[in-house]
Amino acid sequence: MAEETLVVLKRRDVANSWTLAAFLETGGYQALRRTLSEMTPQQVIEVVQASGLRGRGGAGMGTGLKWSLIPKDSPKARYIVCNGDEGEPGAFHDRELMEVDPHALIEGMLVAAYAVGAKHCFIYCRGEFILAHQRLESAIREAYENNYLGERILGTDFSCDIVLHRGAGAYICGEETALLESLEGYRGMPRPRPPFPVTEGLYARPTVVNNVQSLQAAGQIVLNGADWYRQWGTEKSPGTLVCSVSGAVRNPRNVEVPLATSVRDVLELCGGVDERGIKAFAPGGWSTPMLPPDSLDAGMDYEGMVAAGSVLGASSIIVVPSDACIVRAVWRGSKFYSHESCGKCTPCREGTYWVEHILERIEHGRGRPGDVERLQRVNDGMSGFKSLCALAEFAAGPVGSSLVHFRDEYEEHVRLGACPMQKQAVAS
Amino acid sequence: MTVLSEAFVGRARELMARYPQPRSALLMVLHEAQDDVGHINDEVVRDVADIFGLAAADVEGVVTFYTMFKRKHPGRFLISLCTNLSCAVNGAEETEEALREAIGPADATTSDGLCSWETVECLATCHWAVAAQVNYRDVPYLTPERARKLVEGLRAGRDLEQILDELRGAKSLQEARASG
Repeated sequence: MAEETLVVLKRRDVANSWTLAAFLETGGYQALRRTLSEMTPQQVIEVVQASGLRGRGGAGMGTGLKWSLIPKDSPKARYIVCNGDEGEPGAFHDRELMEVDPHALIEGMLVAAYAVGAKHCFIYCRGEFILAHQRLESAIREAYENNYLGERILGTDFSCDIVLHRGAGAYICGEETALLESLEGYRGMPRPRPPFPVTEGLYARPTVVNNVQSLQAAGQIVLNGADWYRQWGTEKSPGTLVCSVSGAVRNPRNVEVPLATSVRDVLELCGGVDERGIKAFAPGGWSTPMLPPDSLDAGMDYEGMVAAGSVLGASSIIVVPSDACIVRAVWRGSKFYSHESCGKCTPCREGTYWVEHILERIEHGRGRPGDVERLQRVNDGMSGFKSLCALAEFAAGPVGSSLVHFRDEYEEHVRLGACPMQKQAVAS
Repeated sequence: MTVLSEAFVGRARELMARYPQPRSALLMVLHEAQDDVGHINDEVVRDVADIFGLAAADVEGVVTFYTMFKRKHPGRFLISLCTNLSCAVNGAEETEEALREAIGPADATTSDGLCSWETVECLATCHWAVAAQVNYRDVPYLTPERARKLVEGLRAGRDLEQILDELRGAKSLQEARASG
């Protein structure tokens, strides 16, 4: 039986964990003290690089590597931006991490700011996250009042500010360049890369954009060392990972486990699949290719998921129950992508629109001969990294993978001119 | 200023001063304006554009990009129902139907101005599927029966916090279904 390994979620059961008092009582701000009193910025970057910590936002880039790419000799201001705009369907770990441990996020950001020479940090918190926003606001206030933020932090020469920013409802703003546009007060539309944010990010200044979990983990790594973090996970995917688990499971929740823990074990920690049974699962949020139940032994790590035919993404497992109609589920997902496509790039804007419409008519018994092939063709046409950001790839994942594993369900819909599971909706 | 007050302008300027470039505060100021006025009408757009020294069309473009900014006045209570995958496989379509029956079509407001409802994308509370919010306050396990009770409670003039506390008493979807 797998067990949880609580690193970033270690204060989950601490009373009033979001307050400064509780944070300090449980070892809080020790990483900051150590950083400021004992380490050079270069040493901070080195330990985070040595730990092998990879960004938990989806792309999996080395966090220390990203920090090291900030130009060291540039006279320009540089910034740290925390991406707290969690919106991937099935993901709810960043929200819990911000609600439970806002001071750990502040601490991680300060460590990052010290490492790259930033004086100004921003937390982009999703607009709908009222509780997370309130707790971050009050934690930032406490940190200012107690000299963990502001001028000459803890009596050192290091000064730094954090601004809490609120999104307003747009999935695309979880994409880092769209997030920066939004943070500058514009419509959240992605920018071409290069230049990458590390050289031209916020206000065209060098900017680190890190996920909530990555920043919180970095703080603990600085305090406990790279080897400590490497006691979990694999050589290429070290450490622990918070997985959100939902759908057809008995006890849906966030669980923190060493990377490469099998999907089966993660589900077991959530009480297992419920009485409906499992038809398929998306391992990294709905935007990652779904896998059939015979992939349940795949590991939740970057390499393991690629080997299984999907990606780790936002490490958020959605279990699709056996009695669900796959076409209906994929159609529902497709409405999300066409709604959230910002419309800037043609393959995504047009592709998500047509995919939704073809799926809509197949599900409602109006599928035409050749529609399954047409769906495949349009889906292939929009994907393949033809757009500025990955939204089209996300939209294509569930469609493409369901056509691989459940093509017969699509064809049956077209043949019958009806949904064989009609009246059952998505759920039973 | 046509609808926003001088005090509001002061608050807006404080927010703008937090950022290296004042325009960064646009979303924050629009949130504040919406909190004050209830929605973002043409007058709010013009006032906010004046505060920032921007064209009204520029501000309007930003407003219409983000789903939380409402161009029409929603009801006093806005119920946002997640219908994305984790909620969909746990009965969101049935709850949608229950809200339609209890309130009327989505995105419309009851004639007394009390309630509106909308479907929204993943709220990042998938462990509470079917997940919802009322005025952006989280509601877990919104089964059809609980949705009906919620609307009845609001119509009866009961305190929102009290209703939410009751709804939050359920600790699982099974419990929520069993207790109705």
